Amino acid sequence: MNDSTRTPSDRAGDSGQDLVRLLHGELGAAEAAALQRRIDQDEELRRRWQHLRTTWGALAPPPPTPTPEDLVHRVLVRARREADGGSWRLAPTWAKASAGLAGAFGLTFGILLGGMAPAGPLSVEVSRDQVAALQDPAEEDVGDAFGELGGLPTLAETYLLALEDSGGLLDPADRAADQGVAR
Amino acid sequence: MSDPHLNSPEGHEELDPDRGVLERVAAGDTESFGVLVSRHQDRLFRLCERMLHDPEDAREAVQEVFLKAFRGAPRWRPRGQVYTWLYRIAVNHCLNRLRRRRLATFFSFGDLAPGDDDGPELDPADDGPDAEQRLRDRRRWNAAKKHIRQLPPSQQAVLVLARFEGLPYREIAETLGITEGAVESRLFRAVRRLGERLQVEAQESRPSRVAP
Repeated sequence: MNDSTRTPSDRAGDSGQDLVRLLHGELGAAEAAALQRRIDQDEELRRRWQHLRTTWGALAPPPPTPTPEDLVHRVLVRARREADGGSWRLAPTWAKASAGLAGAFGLTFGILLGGMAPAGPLSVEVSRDQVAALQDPAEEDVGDAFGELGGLPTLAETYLLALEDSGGLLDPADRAADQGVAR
Repeated sequence: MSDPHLNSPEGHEELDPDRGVLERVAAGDTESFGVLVSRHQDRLFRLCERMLHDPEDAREAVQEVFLKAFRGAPRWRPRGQVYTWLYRIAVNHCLNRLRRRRLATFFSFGDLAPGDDDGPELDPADDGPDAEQRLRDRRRWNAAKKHIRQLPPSQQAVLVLARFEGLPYREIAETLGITEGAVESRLFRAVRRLGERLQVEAQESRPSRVAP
């Protein structure tokens, strides 16, 4: 589109994104200089630039809290504990799923067998690992930020996710951008 | 801004010293994992703190993030920088924590969850010559933080990675699994929305002049 035929609204939309690119240092030297010249010449653009710059400055966070000194040690202790004693957590997903299914199958088979057997004391035990294999929290989060949500969400989490999907928590414009509105 | 060298797997291998370390971690080398934690603890702790707005929560979160990376190392595929993969785990973990926090708030009928208060405005020991400036900065930050929390989580994540972590659009896109165009538009909308709210707040807090 020729710049002279563009409406003020067109110019406001994309020049706003260009201004943020300039603030963030995303523009190359030539592009930045060209935009800076436009800012100097266009009063409306200058006003928007100053407003965005003020906002950007107001978002400067205070110095962060120092990282806990014993963080490496704590993490390594937990990692070693998992590697030594908790090798089950490091097992591949298919192995955990197979074990879970085998456990469930055994349980069902046991119940059916129990139903056919003469009345008497009967106890069925399912190991904690077999239950954990059906939902492993270690699988959570190692996926797309807004796509995969590993693990099985609780009913209430499902409600929040549905709310997010329906637009309550995710900006509709973000959804449009996710669906391929690329530059 | 974009470096073609970075786009090839060979380029990543040459330029990303974490790649070999992560491969050793995947093979079960916990000492190498210590190297990875040492290298990235500061940036991941800072990211968690800025997403969760609570140092205590961030302390716990960053440990979980590293353990998830430890467990996930065998499944890592060399498609980008290791630290953007770590960022992705951290962002997802923090977003899930924020969801659970909202859940806790929902079920406690609106009570604030831990980390949702603004904390003390001035540390007790903070009485040096710059204390006034720090107090002003903290007030400004508390005002900004309140509005940042009200952004959709998707915009918050982009804002934190861009403004606070200084990541270029390409790496933010890689971290969040979205396009650079989506990063650009989310960041613009987040900054515009925050600007509007901060402006309204500034107008409301301006003392009204009484006619003589």
